[in-house]
Amino acid sequence: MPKVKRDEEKKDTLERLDQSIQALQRQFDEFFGTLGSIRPRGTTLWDGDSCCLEALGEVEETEGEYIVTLDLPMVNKDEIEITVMDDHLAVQAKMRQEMHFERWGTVQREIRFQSLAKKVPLPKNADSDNIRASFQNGILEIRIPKITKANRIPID
Amino acid sequence: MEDKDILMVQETLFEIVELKKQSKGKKHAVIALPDAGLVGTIAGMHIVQTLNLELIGYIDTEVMPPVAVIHHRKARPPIQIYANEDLILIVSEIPLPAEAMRPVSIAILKYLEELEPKSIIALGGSALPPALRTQVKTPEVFAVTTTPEEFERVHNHKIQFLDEGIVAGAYAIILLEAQRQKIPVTYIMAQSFLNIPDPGAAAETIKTLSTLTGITIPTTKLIEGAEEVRVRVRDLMNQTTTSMQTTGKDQEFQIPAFYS
Repeated sequence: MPKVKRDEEKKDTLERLDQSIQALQRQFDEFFGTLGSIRPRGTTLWDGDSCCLEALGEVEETEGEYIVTLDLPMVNKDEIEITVMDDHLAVQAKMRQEMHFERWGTVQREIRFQSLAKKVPLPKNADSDNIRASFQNGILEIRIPKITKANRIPID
Repeated sequence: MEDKDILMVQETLFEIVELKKQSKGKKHAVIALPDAGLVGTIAGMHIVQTLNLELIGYIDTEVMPPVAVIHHRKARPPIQIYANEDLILIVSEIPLPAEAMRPVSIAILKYLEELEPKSIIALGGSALPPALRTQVKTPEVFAVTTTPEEFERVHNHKIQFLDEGIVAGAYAIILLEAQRQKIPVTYIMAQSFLNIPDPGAAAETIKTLSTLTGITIPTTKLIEGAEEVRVRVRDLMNQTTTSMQTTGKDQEFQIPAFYS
């Protein structure tokens, strides 16, 4: 199972990706919708400067948990880091082999990708202390339990 | 009369350009469009590469976005036609917008019908909830056919059918239109992710295509290179996800109201 660690200092490496998907995150506030599918015009799924690709993914909700499925191809389990931040999960993964595109649009330069990353907003009822993750065939599955708080209402 | 009018409208909107004239009645036809898990597209790309199919034409239409794809310094419309002696394959490099799905689907059917192919087989994905798809090692394949004769043919190959369910998107239009016009079409769909590229599912549709046509199409390279394929088609997957949101693709999860 990939390590899940709480670390408020990890923000630096995520800053660049954060800027490109900041607008997207606003639309993610309600958590649902398809991961990575709603993005403002002009934003991309990659950042050439940091050689980072944004991971594709899907979210589903059950009665007791949210299940986030992320596509992390060309990644080994040991190279995945999942960090719990205040209001989101930050997933970073180093690819075991860089992807190299030699002819890239009008930029006319090669571009390389070495890592994948994703920010997953946490809903308010997420039990962030009990998040579990598993990884198989390049697919990362993160299970986020819901905090269930039931208040019994007395009947007069 | 009404049907004829619809087709006439379509004819004014489309130009099907054959760079190389195709012989009639000798080939199997395959339709590979961007859809759930990009199953059709990935399968189509693999078939083009593996069988070394030649670009023999394209479909140009004003209902598609004004997009040209550039390959080897040449501009082409995104809906392309590839072929060899046994197979003709139609593939789109961009997702079909909802408003283009009906006219494009009808144009594809009309073009293929005139070629009198041995069969018309569409390849796609049938999305599972992602946590469930993760558990499935070998995706199951289901078929939907449009004529009794085609049903018999597929049934004889022991391929299972989708008995109850919902199909959304361009393939839904192809099925309905083919059924209306009595054009034999088989839609082959493999269990897949919805928004994550799924080469494993694509490989299963290709295996079924091989069974139905007798054309050998090895899938080993597709399986071995699956992770690299998933990286390469990410942007198209993301665009297709947006397109599918407007066509109710998520309805495929639902139980039909009139379940029988």
